[in-house]
Order: sequence, then structure tokens, then C-alpha cells
Amino acid sequence: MREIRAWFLRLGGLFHKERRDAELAAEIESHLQMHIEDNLRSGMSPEEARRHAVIKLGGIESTKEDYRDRRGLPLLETLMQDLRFGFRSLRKNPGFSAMVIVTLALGIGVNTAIFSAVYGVLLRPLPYQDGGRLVVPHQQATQAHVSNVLFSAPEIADYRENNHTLDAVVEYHSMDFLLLGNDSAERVKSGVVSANFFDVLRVRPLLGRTFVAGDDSPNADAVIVLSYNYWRRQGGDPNIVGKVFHMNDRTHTVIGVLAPIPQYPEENDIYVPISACPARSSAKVIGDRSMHMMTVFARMKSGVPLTTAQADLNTVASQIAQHNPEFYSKEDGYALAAAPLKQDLTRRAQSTLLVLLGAAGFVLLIACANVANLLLARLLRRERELAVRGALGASRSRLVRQLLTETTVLSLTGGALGLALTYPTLALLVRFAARFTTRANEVRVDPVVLLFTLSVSLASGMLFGFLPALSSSRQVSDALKQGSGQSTTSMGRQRLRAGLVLVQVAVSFILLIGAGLMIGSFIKLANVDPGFSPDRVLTLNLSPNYNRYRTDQQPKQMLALADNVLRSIRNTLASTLRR
Amino acid sequence: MSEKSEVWQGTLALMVLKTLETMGPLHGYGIARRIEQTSGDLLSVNYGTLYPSLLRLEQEGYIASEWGVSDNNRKAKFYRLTRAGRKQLGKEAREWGQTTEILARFLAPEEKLL
Repeated sequence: MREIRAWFLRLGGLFHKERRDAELAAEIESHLQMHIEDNLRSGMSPEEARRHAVIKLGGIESTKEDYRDRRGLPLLETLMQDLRFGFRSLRKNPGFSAMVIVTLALGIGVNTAIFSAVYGVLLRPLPYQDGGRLVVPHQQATQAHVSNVLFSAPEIADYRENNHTLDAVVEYHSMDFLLLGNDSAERVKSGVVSANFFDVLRVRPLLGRTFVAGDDSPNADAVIVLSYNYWRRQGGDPNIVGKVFHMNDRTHTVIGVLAPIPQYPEENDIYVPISACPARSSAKVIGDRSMHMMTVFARMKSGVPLTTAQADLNTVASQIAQHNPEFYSKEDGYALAAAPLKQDLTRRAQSTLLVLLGAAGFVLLIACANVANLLLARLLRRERELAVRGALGASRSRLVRQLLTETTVLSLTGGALGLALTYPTLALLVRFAARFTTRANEVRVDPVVLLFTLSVSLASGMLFGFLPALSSSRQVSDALKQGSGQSTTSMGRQRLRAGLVLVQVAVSFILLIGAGLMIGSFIKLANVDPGFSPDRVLTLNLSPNYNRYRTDQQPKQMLALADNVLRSIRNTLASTLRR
Repeated sequence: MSEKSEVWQGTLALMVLKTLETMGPLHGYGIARRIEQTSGDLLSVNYGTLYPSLLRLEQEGYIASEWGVSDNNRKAKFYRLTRAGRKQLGKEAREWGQTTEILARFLAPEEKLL
């Protein structure tokens, strides 16, 4: 308590120095005068009286110095001094400073950008309550080396009814539908889901409600939930709930808008329950075990470990295979593997991102070695300055502290600039990562990332500052002895420089080899012969209304018609239509 | 700060507190003279070391200061003991008593052996 009070007063002692100095001077002056008067009374001559008093006091200036040290916080004061001095000397060498700062900014910027991607995709928990309990089952034909067979409706029903470890099993697939408003027609990517899909993911609506039990029963009224982004694109009407659209020859009512959180497994414009999907609600899909078209998500019961759930699902899988041998042949090796949702969503991105992070780390290492070399060269020129300061009484630790303060100023400035570079880089990186995972949308610069940047900046400042500073502190006394002003490079320092260059070359080599291999694979990939000439060939996706194109014949007729139309519009355009 | 040992700082602080308790409010020079008189040579080398100690005690809230006028009409900064200082004095005096007692007991047989 007393210490804290004293500390605050000492912090206050950093201000109003002139007034405090004047007060101390007055106090000491009054002390001296009283002493002199006493001495005069005891019979000394005026001169002797004064001399005696001053000697007794023991050095006015050193007394004042001790007093000042106690008044303020010497460590903080020297830090401020070093900072001011650091900034001044950086301004005096703009070329050197700019080079160091830009080098560091590149290194730190790249690392920050890639770390934010790694953190956003791989490390940050899913934005769902209890996201750790969400699992994704995959049907596999192990003998045929197929690891991800979609589910058919009967299979989903089997797993839902026969498991003992899952709270809920929900399904998902995506279709393109034509959404007709009063004066609009738009093709929308539609997620077709179980009624409790959003409850299982614990996604809350922004407006209205999400689906409730019964919304997916065969005779329920058709309802739509809009995604946040689609709703914004359509103007963000706050009274959208209750509006009516036409789709697949039915009237659909909007019942809600989702909150702006990332959608899994992929981004959709709208969501409908399975009863509103003409294909999914057809008797053919409901009854046919071989119509594999759905993805399945499940929430494990509270407290159930993944291994238990997996064993339970294995049992169900073997039952299914036993009861339907005509669908699951022994040779295929039917199995079911459940993976945590987070892992499943990021599996494809993981290795790429980690490789990138490693490469970025190497880049930063090169940058640090580079900067350390620059600093070393500059220290050579400052040898005299440091030697003189050492001779004037600056301790070795004091000199090292000053050098470290300077490098910290450099590295923090570099870090700040690097952070500015992060934003444009991040946009590129998010687009790249989006090819592997929908979590890319969650990548952003947040406090954790800022903390990372700060620590990386400080750590690299220490890294490239400490080596030269240490090597220099050993030299201080020698430099003066040499006296000629032409500092020679000592063995130790030569070794340090050689070591730095070695590190740079070695790490650059690793990066170059990695990059070379990647380019090699890319060239090979670009030269793969697809077996046809892709030049000037266009593809066209159509989403015909399932209700009207039910037989195999009807879509073919439509394609023939479309082909005719296209030919008549532009004879030169040869189009290939794919169903 | 000159490297005075912690023990010296503590001793000096305790003497300052005791002086102020005995003498009432007093200026730095007065405290120095008083300590010199009672402790013999201890402070005779250097009155100046007193001032950082006074500042420290003031920062810790054991003493307070204000400018006043001395007996011979000279402006001087007077220090006085605060309530916390009085408490601290009692505590430290007790601790010193114990320490010296223990040390005395510890050192006594050695002297006998010699």
C-alpha cells in the first residue's frame, strides 16, 4: 500500500521538475545558511564557516542527484530519454531507418495476415454454442477408397432412429431454385434442411423465426428463411417477414432472416425445409436407398465422447449393411466415420495454411537477419560514440538498454506499418482460403491477431537487436584504446556477421526450393491433357423446375429447344449443354 | 542513487522518525545536527544523504513537510511526524530491538571463545 502510494508520487515527480528543483535548491540553501550561522557563532571566519558547512553537506550536486533519483522513477526517465534519442537518431538516418522499417513491415505484415487466417480458420472456436459437440458423419466404402458418400433419405432415417448417442441428426443439401416475386425472378442458391437444422447448429434468427418442428412435414405450408447477406442484397426490408414469393409452383412465405454469422457447410441465399424441395419430397427420393444426395450433421448428447459416438454409429452401420445386402456389398466395405464439425470444415485448408505460416516465419527470420546485419554495420560507425559514452560513465547494461530501446522503436514502427499492409493482403488471402473452407469468411484482424503482431514485433526487435548490442558492449573499452578512430572489426563480430549471412542464405534456400517445387507442380498441372480442347468452350448451368421436368424425356426436350434458340441467336456460337 | 546499503537507509529513516517524535517539527539541518549529536560519528561525513531519506519517508506518508520560519528568522522546510509515521516508528523500533537482541545472543559466545 505504502509502496503504491510512493510509486504514484514518484510518477508525479516526473512533472514540474523546475519547480521541484528550485524548492530543493532553496531547502539546501537554507540548510547551508543555518549551518554557516552556527559555525560563525562558534568563532569561525566567514570563509571557513562556509567551507566547513559545504564539506559537511557532502557535495551539493551529488546530494541533488540522489534526491532527484528518489523523487522520480529513474528507469522510466532513462527510457523516455532513450526513446527520444532513438527517434532522433532514426530521423537523422532516414535511409537506414526506412530500409529497416520496410523490411520488417514486410516480414511482420505477411506473418500477421497469415496468422489471422490460421487463427480465424483453424484456431478460433466455431461461432456456435457447444460447437464441440457437432459432428459430421461420412459414409465410406473403405475397400473402394471412397471416403465421402452422401446420404440417401432411408439411410438418414436409419441413423436417426437407431443411434443411442446423438441428440439430433439433421440433413442438408443445396439446390438452385427460381424465386419469383411480384416483379422479379431470381435464381437463388437454396439450402434444403431438416426443420431442426438451425436448432442443432444453435443459429438464432435476426428477424422472425427459423424452422420449427412440423415445417418439414409433407403437408406443411412452404416457408423460407433468408440468409443475412441475401436479405441485405435485396434491400434489407425490415418488414420482410410475412412477404410472399413463388417458387417451384408453390407460394412460399418468408418467416425469418438469419443473423450475420458464417453459414455451414456453405453460403446459401435462402433456406427451405425438406418438404419444400420438389426433389427431396418426391416419393422416389424418399424411398430409394441409392439416391445419395444429402449431407448429415449431428449433435452428440452432452458428455458423450466422440469415440463412444463413433462406436455407436459403427453398430448402426453394420445393421444397415446386414439388412440391405443388395446395396452394401461386402467388397465395398461399408463404414461410417464421424469427424468433429470444426475439423471437417477446415481439413482441406489446414496443411496449406500451416505451410504458408511456416514460409512466412522464414521470411521474417530472413528479415531479422538482414536487419541485424544492417544494425551491425551501423554500430561499427557508432563505435566511437558508444566508447565515449562508456568512458563518461555509462554502464554496459545502460548502453545495451539504449541500443535495445532503439531497435524496439524500429521493430514497433515496422510492426505498425506491417499491420497496415495486412489489410490488403488479407483480402487476397481470404479469397484464397475460401476455396478450401467456408470459415474463410471469419478471418479478420481481431484483438488476438493484434496481440500476435505486437509480440512478433517485440520478439523480432529483441532478436535482431540483442545480438549486435551484445557484441558491441564487449567492445566498448577496446574501441577507445584503439584511439585511431578507425574501428577494426573484431573476430567475434566477424563471426557474428558470417553467422547472420549463413542463416539468411540457408533460410532463403529452403524458401526457394519450396517455391520452386510449387511452381513445378503448377506447371505440371497446367500441362495436364484433359482429353478435350477447353478453348472457347462455355458451360451453362440450368435449373429446371423439378415439378415440370420429372421424366428423363422432358429435360432432353428442353435442352434441344434451348440449343435451337441459341443456334438461331448466334450461329457461330457452338454451345454444349450439360444436364 | 549512490549504493548506500539498505540497512543504512533503514537505520537513518528510523533515526529521523525518532528524532521527529522527540523534538517535534524540525528542519533538515536540525534533524541532521540532532542525529549527529545522539549517534556520534554516524552522520558526520555527509548531511546530504539525509535529504533523499526525508523525501522517501514523505512519499511513503510517514512524515509531512511545509515551509516555515526557523528560530533565527530563516525560511526553512519543516518536517513533522504523521499518524502513520508514529505507528511505523513503534513497529520498526520493536523489530530493531528484536534483531539486535538476537544478534547479541548469537555473537556473544563467539566473543567468549576468543
